[in-house]
Amino acid sequence: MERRKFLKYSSATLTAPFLFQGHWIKAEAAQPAADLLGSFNTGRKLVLIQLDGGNDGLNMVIPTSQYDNLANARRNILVDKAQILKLTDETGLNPAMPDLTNLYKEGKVQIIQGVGYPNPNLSHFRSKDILLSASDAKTIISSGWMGRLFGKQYHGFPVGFPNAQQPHPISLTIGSTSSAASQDDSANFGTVLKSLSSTYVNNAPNGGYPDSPFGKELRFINNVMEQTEGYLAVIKAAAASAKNLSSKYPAAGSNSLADQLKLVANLIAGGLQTQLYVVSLGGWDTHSLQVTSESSKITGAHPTLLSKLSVAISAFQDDLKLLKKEEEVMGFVYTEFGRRIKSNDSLGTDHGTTWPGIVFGSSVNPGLIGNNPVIPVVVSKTDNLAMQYDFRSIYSGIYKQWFGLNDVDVNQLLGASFPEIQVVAKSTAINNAISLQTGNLKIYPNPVQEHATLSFESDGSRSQIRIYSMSGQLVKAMEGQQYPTGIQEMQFQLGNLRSGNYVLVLRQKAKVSEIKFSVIK
Amino acid sequence: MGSSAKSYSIQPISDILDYSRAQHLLDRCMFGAKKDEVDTMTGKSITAALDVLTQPQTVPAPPVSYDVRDTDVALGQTWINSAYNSTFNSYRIRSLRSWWIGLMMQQRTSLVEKMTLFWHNHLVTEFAGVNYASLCYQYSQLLRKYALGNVKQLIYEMTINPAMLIYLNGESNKASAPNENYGRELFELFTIGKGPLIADGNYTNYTETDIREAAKVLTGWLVNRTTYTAYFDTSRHDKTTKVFTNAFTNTSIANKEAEEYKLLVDMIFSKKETARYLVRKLYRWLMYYQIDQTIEDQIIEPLATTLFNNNFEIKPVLIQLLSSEHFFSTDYFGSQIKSPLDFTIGLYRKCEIPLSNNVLTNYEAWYELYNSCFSMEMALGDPPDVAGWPQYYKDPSYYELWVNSATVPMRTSFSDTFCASGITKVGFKYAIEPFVLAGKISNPSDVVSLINGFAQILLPVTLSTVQVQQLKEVLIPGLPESTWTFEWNKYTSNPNDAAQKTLISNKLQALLKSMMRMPEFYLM
Repeated sequence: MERRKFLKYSSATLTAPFLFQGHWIKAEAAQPAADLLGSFNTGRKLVLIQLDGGNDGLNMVIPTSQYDNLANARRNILVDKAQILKLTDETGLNPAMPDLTNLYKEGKVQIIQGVGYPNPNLSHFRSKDILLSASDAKTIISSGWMGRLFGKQYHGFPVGFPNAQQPHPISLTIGSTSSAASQDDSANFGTVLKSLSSTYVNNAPNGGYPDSPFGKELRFINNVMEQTEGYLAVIKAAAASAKNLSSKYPAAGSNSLADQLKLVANLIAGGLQTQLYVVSLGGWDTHSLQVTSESSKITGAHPTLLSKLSVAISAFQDDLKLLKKEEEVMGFVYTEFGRRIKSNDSLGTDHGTTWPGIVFGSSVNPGLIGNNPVIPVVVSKTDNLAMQYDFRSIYSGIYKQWFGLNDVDVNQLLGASFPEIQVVAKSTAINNAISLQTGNLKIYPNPVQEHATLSFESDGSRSQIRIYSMSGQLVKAMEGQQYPTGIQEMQFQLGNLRSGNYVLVLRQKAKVSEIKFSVIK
Repeated sequence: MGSSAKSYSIQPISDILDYSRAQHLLDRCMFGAKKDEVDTMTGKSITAALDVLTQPQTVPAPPVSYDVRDTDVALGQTWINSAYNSTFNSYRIRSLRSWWIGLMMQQRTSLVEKMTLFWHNHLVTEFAGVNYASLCYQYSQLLRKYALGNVKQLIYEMTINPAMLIYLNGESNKASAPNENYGRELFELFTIGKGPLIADGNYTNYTETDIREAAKVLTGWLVNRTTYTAYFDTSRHDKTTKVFTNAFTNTSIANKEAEEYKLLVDMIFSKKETARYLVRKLYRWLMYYQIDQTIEDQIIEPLATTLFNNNFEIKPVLIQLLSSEHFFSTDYFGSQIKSPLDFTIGLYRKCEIPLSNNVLTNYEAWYELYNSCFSMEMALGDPPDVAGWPQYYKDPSYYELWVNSATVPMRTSFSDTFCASGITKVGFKYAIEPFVLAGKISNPSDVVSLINGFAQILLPVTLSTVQVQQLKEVLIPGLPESTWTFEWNKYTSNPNDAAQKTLISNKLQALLKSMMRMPEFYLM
C-alpha cells in the first residue's frame, strides 16, 4: 500500500488495534464491562487496620481476673493492676488506651478474645498470608479474602476501570503496596495511595528530576503512570470536596496510623465509594524493650503503639460521627499473630499464637466476645493462649452481616463453613441480602477452535452474551433467545476470534455469570 | 578522562568500562543485558568491548514449522524453500515472527540483532503486505547480512529484493506505466531524506523530476513467486537516458538494463547528505532523539564524514559513536524509553527466564511475546507504514509515543505475569525464577543488598534512599530488617522446606513486581 493512502485512513491516535469479526479496527476507547456490575455496592465500607509484627494482645486486653498468674508469667512487663482501664469486672485495657476505653463504653467497640487458627505458624510472612488469604495453615492460596469477593463483582478489572458505573477505587491501601487481602486470582483490586500527590510507589527521585535527557523521560513516564492510574483524579477530588472535622487527631507526622485514618475519613466524607480501605501500623515485633523498664511499664515501645492505635481509632470515629458518616463504616483491627504468655528476659515477648481482634464502629455488636483466657499457675516459655475463635468466623460475620452475603457465597469464599461471630449489631445487620451465585456455565470444547457449545442454567428470561478479550475489549455480542428454565445448551461460532483467552459473560434477567475460555487456532 | 555528565566530544573514552558504563553500552546495543554479560564487559577497554559487539555472527538456522496443520512441512523442518500455500502461509509467517523474536532473545553479546531491527525500521516492508513467508524470510536475512556491513551494498540488494519489489510496487513499474513508489521512498526515507521545500516539487536534496527519472531506471523488475527470486524483463525496461536535476549535478544515466539500478544508488550515495541522513537515524536508534545544533555539528557531522569516507561501511561509524565521550555522558544513561521489544525481550533476558530445550515449545512462547508487543504497538515484521515506527522519527515526541494510558497497563500486566505464574506452553513454564535472580546478588540475606542488587540488574540508575525505603516496605512491611535475614536464612538452611521456599519466593516476586512498575524500568 502506498504510504499516502495509508496515512489518510489511519487515525492520529496510537491506540492498539484489535480484531473484530475478522477486521482490524482501532478502538476509540475500551468498552468497559460496565453492564456486569452487580448489586453488591451497599454503600458500606470496611477499614482494615493491620498491626504489623505481631501484637502482644495480653498487654493490650488484660484479663484482670487472672492477674496473679499473669504477673508470675510476665512480671517484668505487666502493668500494675490498679492502672488497668476497666472494661468489665474481669477484663481491662492497657493504661495507654483511655480513648479506646471510652469508645468501648460508648458501645462502638467489640473485642474478640482468642482469635487464631489451627496449627498456627509463627512466621510473620506466612501467618499474614494465611490471615489475608483466609486459608488454613497447610494450604497456600494466592487470592485474598476481599479480593475474591471483588472478583465476583467486577469482571475484567482493571481493564475498563474506572468507568461511569464504578468511578471510584474498589479498594484503597494507604501505603506502598496493594494489600494481599484485595488480591484476586488475576488482579489486585487495590489502588495504592502513598499520598495525595501520587498513587505510585516511586515518585520523583530525591531532589526532583535531574535536568537531563534521563530526567526528562523519567518525569514523562511518571506523569503518564499517574494519569493512567485513573483513580487519582477522583481521589483528589473527593479529598478536596470535604474537610476533616474532628479536633482529636494528633499533629501530622506524630502518629502515622492517625494520619492514614484521617485521610480515609476525608475521602469517605468526600463521597468516595471505595468499599475497602487498608491501613497499617508497624513495629509490633517487640522481642525486647517493649516497656521502658521494670519500673516504668506504662511507657516504651508497646505502650506507645497501643496509644497510637487508641488515639487514631478514637479520632477517626469522632470524625466520622461529626461528618455524619458513622453508619457507613466499620473497622477491624488484626495482627499476624499474638505473643507468648511468658515474657522473655529482655523486657519483651516472643512470637505466639492467638490475639484479640477489635471491631469498631457505630454499627457493631458491642462488648467482649469470648472468655477471659485462663493463665496457668506455672507457664512455660512456649505456652500460648488457647484459640477460641477462628479468624474466618470474623470474616464470615463481616461478609454476611456487613456486606449482606448469603451462606452459600460465604462458604464458597472461605472454602468451608465457619460459625459466624455476631460482629454487627443485629439491628443493622443485612444478612442474606445479596446472592453472588450466577449459574453453572460450561463451555466446550475448551480451548475452542471454531464452534463452541455453552451449557448454562436458564432462569427462563432472554439471555444476552458478551465476549471480552482479556484486555477488556468487547469482541462479540449476541442477543440470545428465550430458553425454558433449567440447564440449556446453545451453539455458536467463534471462528473470527484470534488465539487467546477470553471471558464470556451471560446476562439473564436475574443473574450475570461468566466463564473464561481459550481460543486456539 | 572519567565519566562526565554531558559531553559533546566524539573523541573515544580512554579508561576501562565500569559496571554502569558496560551496562549502558550493552543495553543500547542489545535487547536487555544480563548481569553476567555486563560483568564480562566490566573492566574491558571500550575498544575490546566493541570488538566483541561487532564480531560477525554465524548465519542462524532458518525458521521451522511448528504447526501440525502445515502438512507440507514436517514439524521442526524448515519451510523456507517449500512451495507457497495460501493456507499454510499464515502458519509460516507466524513461525518467522517467532524465529526472529527467538534470535533477539538468544542473541550473543553482539550488535547484530539490534542493528537488524534498525534496518527493518529503516527499510520497511510489511509481512502482511508482502504475504509470502519465504520472501519475508529472505528480506529478514538480507537485513541481518548487512546489519553491520555496507549500506550501499544493502541498498543495492534491497532495491531488487522480491519482498520490497512487492511491497513498494516495483514489480508493476514498467516503461509503459511507471510506478514511482519505490523511487520516491528510496530518496525520501531510505537514503538522502527530504530537505526544505525550496520550490514547487523541489525538496533541496532531490526533486519530483528526480523521482520520475529514478522510477524509469528501476523499471523491468519482476518477482518469480515459485522460485522466490527477482528477475529482469528487458521488455518492461525504460531504455531512454534518464536525466537528473542539478540536485545531482544533472547526472544522466544511459540504459544499462539489469545493472542500471546500481548507478542510481551510486548517484545518491555520492552525496554526503545521504551519510548525514543515515547517521541521524542511527543516532536516534542508539543514543537519543533530540539533535540540536551542537550535536549536529560535533557528533552527526564527524560521524557522517566517517561513513562517507569509508564508502558507507557502517561498522566504523558504530564504533566511533559507541566509544565516544558523548555516548558515555551520564546524562544520557537511562534516557531511552524502551520499545516494546526492548521491554519484553529485555525482561526475559535480564530476569534469566529459562527457555525450553524444545525449540517448538519456545516458538509458542515467542509468538505470545510477539502478540504482546503487537498490542503495545510494535508488531515485528509489520511497522505501521513504510516510514517505520513513528517513535523514531515523529517530532517532537519520538520514544514517548511508546508510553500512554493504554500501553502502561499492558506493560504492567506483562511484567506482573512473569513475576508470578508466568506463561505455560506445552507444559513448559516461562516465568522468573526469583531464586535464580537472587543468586546473582552478593548478599541476598541483607534487605538493602537485595534491593540494590535487583536494581543493578533491572534499572539504569541507582536507587535513592527513599526508593530503597519504599521497596523495603514491600518486602518487610512494618518489620525490622532482621526479619528478612531470619526468614531468608531459614530458607537457605533448609531449601527443601517447601512452605518456607514459597513464602520467600512470594516476597521476591512482590519486590520484583514493584521494581518493574517503576518508571525507571521503562528506561535504558
